[in-house]
Amino acid sequence: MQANTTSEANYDLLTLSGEVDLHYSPQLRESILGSLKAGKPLLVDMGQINYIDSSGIASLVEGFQAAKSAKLGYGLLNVSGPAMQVLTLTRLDKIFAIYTSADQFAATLPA
Amino acid sequence: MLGRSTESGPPMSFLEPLIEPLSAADTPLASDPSAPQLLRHLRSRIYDFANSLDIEDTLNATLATLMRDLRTEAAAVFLFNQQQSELVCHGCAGPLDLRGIHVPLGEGIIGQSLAQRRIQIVRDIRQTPAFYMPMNLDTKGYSPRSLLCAPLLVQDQALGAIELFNKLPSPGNPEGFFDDLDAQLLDILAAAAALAIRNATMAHDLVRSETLRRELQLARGIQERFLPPFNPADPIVGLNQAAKNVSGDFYDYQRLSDGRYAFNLGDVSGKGMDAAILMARAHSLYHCLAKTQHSPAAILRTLNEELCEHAMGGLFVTMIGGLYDPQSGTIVLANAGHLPALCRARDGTFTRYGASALPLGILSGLDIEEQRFTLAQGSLYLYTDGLSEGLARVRQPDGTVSNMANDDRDSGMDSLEQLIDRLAPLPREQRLRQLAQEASQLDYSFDDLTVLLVEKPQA
Repeated sequence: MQANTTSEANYDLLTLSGEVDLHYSPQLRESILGSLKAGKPLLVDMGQINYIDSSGIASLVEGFQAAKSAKLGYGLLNVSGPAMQVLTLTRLDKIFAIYTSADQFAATLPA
Repeated sequence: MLGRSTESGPPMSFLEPLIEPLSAADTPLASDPSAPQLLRHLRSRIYDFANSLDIEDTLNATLATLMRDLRTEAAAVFLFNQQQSELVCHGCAGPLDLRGIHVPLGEGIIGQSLAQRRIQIVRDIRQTPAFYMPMNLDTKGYSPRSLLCAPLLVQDQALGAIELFNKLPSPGNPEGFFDDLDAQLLDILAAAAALAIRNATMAHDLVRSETLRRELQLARGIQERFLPPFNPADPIVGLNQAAKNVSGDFYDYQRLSDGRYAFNLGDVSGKGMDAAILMARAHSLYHCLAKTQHSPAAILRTLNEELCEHAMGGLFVTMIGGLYDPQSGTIVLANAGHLPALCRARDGTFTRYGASALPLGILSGLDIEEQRFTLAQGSLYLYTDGLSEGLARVRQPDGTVSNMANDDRDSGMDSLEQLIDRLAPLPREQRLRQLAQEASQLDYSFDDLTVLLVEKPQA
């Protein structure tokens, strides 16, 4: 897994690629919570993920819970086919805000 | 003096005395030792340092010996924390207590000593700005005047550093300053001490690792006792293989007083001890609730509220709860975020029963639907992703195993259905073992593997 966080105008963009499994999920968790603890809304770009296991999903869920608690924007961007299958099977696609462009996410944030 | 003594006389003349018995541990080093005296003494010290495999004993023996041999007022030993890149004081002798003090690598005299991998000698501390003394340290009136530091190294591995404070004043050295001879002697003794400390540390790690292994084995044993005992008369059988010592997967079934069977199968996100503890909680709650509540959806809703009461760091449970009536053949299923249950009818057609709700432990107030159908002579399979994904893994030409077959998770379930079809003629216990074995063939150790089968026993 590769994880890269960049600062956009009013949110952080976390771009993931490769396989997100038990080995990498602590790193994913750290990246997600790092932005949220700094008070930054977070958009997770999942367009380049070709595999994600339940531990990786748990990191995304923890981010969802932390963002909800801190009242920060939190969304997933361009969710790849394999990742979307997992979210759909588990019905988690019903709770995550899923976007097809970063502008859509930015438009939901307070000015 | 050391330099002169080691250069004088034929080598054999002072090798002979080395075979004499070791000196007592508390024998002080002569103030101006001859080469044979010094070598015997060092040999003795090497044995003293390595006398125990207990890390605390080793550190204390090191400090006591160095204070005696170098005639110092106080001494401290710091161990290196590589993750934090800092030295932490683990032992002290004399009037100064530095235990628990943290010194960043490269800072202060001791931090520089380790960073630069060399002895540091400070004749007069008061004229040395690099001396590091935490502001909140209670020195109880003790004031260091002179300082000698040596890194603790084994080959190039940094273990820590030793710090000696103030030589005992003597007529020839009333200020108690350290000199170059002290530095040379400490250099040699520190090398021996480092070896002893590394041995003790390795022994400590080995014991801890073995203790942890035994505890994991005990935990696995307890998990195995959660599983229902096999009874050939029951219409349900299950199989659970842990990828590690403990499992985040679980299944359970019990015969209720009215003859129906309550069953469930679940998977906690992640693996390891945190998943195992959550698994134990979910398993116990469901088992208890199922005795009096016969609606699988209602049990899952209650379980979800219980799990949501305590934040679990993103951990969640995917789970299927079910009820089977052997008299009517009716099955009621409730699926919270779990992989679809597969029902194979006698004619070989499959029906998938997917999730109607989120996994448990994420959001309270779940709306979970129940699905009802008649099993008749068919077979119902509940399984975790260790089974379906194991079948979808592909071994690459270089020998590595990729997680999924070309981005298609459905291929795992398709493969599972084909395999179930092929194994259908086998007796159910043998069929489950064969299912697990074929899914494991590539490398099931990626994940826990659990499967539960509801099917009338063959007469």
